[in-house]
Amino acid sequence: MDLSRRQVLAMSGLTLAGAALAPSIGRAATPRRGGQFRFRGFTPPHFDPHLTASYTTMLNLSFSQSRLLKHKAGPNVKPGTFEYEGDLAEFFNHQDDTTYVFRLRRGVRWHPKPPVNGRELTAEDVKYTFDRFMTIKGNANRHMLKSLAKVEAIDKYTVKFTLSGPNAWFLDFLSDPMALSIVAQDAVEKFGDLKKPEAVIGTGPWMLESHQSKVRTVWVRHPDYFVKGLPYIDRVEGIDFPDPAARLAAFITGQIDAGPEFPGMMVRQHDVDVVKAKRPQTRFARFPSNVMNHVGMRTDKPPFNDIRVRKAMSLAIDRKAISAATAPLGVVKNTPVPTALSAWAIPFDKLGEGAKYHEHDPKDAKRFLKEAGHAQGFATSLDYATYQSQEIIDAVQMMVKFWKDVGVEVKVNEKPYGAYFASAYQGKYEGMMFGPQFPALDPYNFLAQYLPGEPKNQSHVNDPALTDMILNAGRTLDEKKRRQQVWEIQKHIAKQVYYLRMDSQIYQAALDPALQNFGPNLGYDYGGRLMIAWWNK
Amino acid sequence: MLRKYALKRLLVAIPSLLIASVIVFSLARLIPGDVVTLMMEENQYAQDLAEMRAKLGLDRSIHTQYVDWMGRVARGDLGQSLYTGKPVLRELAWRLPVSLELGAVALVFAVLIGVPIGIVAAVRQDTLRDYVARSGAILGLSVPGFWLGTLVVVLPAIYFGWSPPIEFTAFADDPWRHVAQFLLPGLLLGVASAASIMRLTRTQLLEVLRQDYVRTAWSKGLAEPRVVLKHSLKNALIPVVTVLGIQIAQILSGTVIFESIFGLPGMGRFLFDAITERDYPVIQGINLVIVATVVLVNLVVDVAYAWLDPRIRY
Repeated sequence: MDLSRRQVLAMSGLTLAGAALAPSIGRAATPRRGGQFRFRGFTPPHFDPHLTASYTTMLNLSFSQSRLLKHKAGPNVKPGTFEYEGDLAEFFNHQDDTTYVFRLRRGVRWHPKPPVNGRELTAEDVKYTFDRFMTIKGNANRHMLKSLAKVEAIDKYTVKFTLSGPNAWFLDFLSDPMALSIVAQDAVEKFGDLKKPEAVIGTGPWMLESHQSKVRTVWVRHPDYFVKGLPYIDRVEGIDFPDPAARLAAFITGQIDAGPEFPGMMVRQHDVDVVKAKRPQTRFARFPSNVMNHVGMRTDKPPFNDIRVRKAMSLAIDRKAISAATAPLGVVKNTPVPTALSAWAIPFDKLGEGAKYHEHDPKDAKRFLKEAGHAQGFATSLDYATYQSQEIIDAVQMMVKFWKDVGVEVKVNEKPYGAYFASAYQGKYEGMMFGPQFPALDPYNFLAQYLPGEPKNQSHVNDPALTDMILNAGRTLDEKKRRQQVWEIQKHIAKQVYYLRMDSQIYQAALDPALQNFGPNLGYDYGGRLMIAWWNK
Repeated sequence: MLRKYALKRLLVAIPSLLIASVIVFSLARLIPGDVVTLMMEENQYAQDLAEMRAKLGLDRSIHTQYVDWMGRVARGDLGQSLYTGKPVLRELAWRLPVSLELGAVALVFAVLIGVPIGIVAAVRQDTLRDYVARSGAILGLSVPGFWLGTLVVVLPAIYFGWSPPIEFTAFADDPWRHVAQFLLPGLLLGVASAASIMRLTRTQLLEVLRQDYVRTAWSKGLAEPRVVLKHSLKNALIPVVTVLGIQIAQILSGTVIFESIFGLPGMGRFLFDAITERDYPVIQGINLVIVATVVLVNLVVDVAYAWLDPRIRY
């Protein structure tokens, strides 16, 4: 479809009014081409981003696929911040609260592989991708774009998105490496779906060369990548090996170039000293984790429908003791949006009244229990899964002890991960549940767990005032104003103690020092972060 | 006579296999809770629950499912991996040789370590060498393989800056590197079996060394190596052959741990991953192959036993 004269003029105006989307290439020194990067790889169930919610698929696709927008990357980006910039989109503009128009870069080439054979990417490809994303049966990530009503290819390089209502988080979702990479219709038609490795065809910086399940995945440089000169590294190899001790040994002995633990190319806290001693040149980057464990409670039923009981349960927990036992190199106190997402999390000292319920005060806990009519305590249950993590097991055992100290007897139901995921994680439990939340990169995913009807609402929160506040924030396009709203929401949540938040550990990203211009961060966008990096050795 | 015996054993093996197949088939279905829901929630293996049930054949009666499954197994079809989407048999085709190679190397180490030490311990009974050998055997039997494997991977990395290669190398790419990557896991996997073999070799040899015909050999003035190795060892090793059959089953189960620690893409690791990913067709397929291998090996061992000692009949 061609643009009309009126539309062209409108677009010209948009060029000025629209957001600048030039990719940032922070250069720490003179870039060099060549070399290979080896990391601990992950075998995905398959490669179709629209037919799985598995992070392993998205992580692998981050090397080969592009999105409309992407998160800025590089050594100057503060970990935990996710500012977006153009990927395939040259610029965008919202004509009104529900209409976004993106102009695509010209001359973007698909990988030189059949059936696309390096043809140019067009707006029709983008439209096809989003139509498939919204309509394909079995897309577990469809909820990300539930406000999307229509996608139109206005002309060869212009795409228009119409939303069913204002959604201030829309651009955050578009830039999320989770599932929103652009795919080729030709590939879907040739292979039936995009599950097979040969169907991995994108416009991204590297091309999938080979994939051997549970052994290795290899990518090679895309010669016609649309940002000239990028990527600098010629070959990327993800080596999949399951044993944590073997992974540590592999990093110490230089068989891989980055810390092997997920996410963020890190090493475990208790391995840091060994790494410092045995691979002393390792470059470390410390930043808080966005994985936040919490205790969910049935706030729709007694005794947890009483705010005094929830306050008592929180005050009974000695979080410092748990952190000392499980994360020796430090933690951060969490606010309802994890502290790791520093652009949106309210500073803990500004949390207001709710902050005090994060402290350990068994005396006050007993007082609240007495006021709530539970002077002799009560009995309840806690469902959890170990996630094969000693830290989680330790935390549960310690919490049970702390609750017992104030008179609450907690029966622990340890469940296999699958059973836990299908029950407690979805809010199906009797008393309490405990576990990590999905480590999202945007605040909305954390706020959604307070909205009635959302599967993530594990505590069965139904607070009309809070619901309004969250929905209002979603309609506020002014980011500064929205941030203020999100802070107010967090204050309200903390005061109501709907969940018992635990502290998050500090990640220790570990990298070969010869890797230049690489900034570690949270999330799955391994390819996006590596694209601008080069070797200096 | 031997042929008749072999035929009899074969006939006994068939019901064993059938019973094992029923157990393997039932295990996945005995897990509490709705497995299909769990598989969908975790891995999105199908577009909806109905398709998932149809994919697993769970939309039919259990008898029909079993008969259908066995029918397909008889035709060499073990189903399709839910995780990779490929036929289980095709996946096994390139993974089974890795496990067999590892198992073979482990068995060679087990025999090379166990038999000579067993001989020395028997011949030098109640000496320091015997005590050391027996203590070593008890240690070999009691140390868990996963612990030993982890130490062997981590300690050299910490103290010598070396660890076994993490990348699997195919034989066609580099034959020496390919063989070398099996030596360490093979040695560790063989240690526990070597301990069993050593203890049995010692016991059996001690018994044989007390026989009249051995005393005659000594009295004829034959040299010790000739008495022990030529006249005694052959008879002492017959029960060891039977134990080797049992050890093969142990070694096969040990591959699950060692392939994971050493990054070998064999059947054991495939099983480990399939359990993690709730890939039930793979779990069923691999267990059936393992059971069939064990039954077959034991059949071969029993027949070999009868061949080695013609007096033995059941």
